[in-house]
Amino acid sequence: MKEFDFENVGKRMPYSVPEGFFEGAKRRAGEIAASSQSGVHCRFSPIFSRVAIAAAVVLALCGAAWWTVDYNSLERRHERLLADISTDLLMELVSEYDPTADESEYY
Amino acid sequence: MTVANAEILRLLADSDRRNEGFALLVEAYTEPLYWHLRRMVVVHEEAEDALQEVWIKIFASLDDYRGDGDALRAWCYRIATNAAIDRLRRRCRWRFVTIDNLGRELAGLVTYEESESSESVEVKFQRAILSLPAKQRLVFNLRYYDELTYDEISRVTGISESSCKTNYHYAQLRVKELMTR
Repeated sequence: MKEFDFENVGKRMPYSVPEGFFEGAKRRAGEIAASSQSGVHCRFSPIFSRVAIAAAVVLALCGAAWWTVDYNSLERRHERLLADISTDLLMELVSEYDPTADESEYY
Repeated sequence: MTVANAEILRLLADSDRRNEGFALLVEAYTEPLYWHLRRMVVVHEEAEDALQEVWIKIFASLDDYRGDGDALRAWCYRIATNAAIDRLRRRCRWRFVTIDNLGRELAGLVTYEESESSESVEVKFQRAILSLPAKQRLVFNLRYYDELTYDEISRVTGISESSCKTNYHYAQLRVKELMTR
């Protein structure tokens, strides 16, 4: 069998790129340098990130506190609901429940 | 290219003209680095993302560059190669395969994008290269396509010049064998 000659394929490849790709890639690379040149942003970005982290922690703590308060108010709401049910209705509901019954009866 | 690299370095060393130097570097190396990445990762979107990572890394490392104009090309290719290898390693990790075996999987992704043909010599050639062990594949691509010197390939890969020559020799033999089948 005839030996393969690299000249048969040279440097051709089966790949292509979208039209305008390299111009876009060069432009995006150029933006890296341009963004580093905006000194104000770079100088203050460490401070900005610290402020953002601190704000996130405060928000998380506030959220946890709100949830705790809200949970407590939820409990109080359940107690109010139970208090609103008449004694007769409550006894009826309790009497219908048989803890010894087979659960499959209910389904 | 050596004269251009010297000019690029001169501009990069000047804090007032650094961006101008970086623009020249981008102009000179975007296409070669893209194709180098593409040959390693195969998929265009992967190569595109890797290329942007490479430029970010190069720009961030300009102050660390200690070489002359002759070493600039190898330095850029080294950063690009490491970026491609990192991407391949990440893929390997969650698929529990080695980079060598991944090459064979990547070979399955190669199709001729200008037409429906999957049997063109270009496709077969790329598949043959991708089936090589990772080190041979890298050396072959850098020598065959990018025409880096063995000294430059040694700087890119971290292996000795003599090993680079050996790897290239065996890679050529293996590719010829696969293409002749």
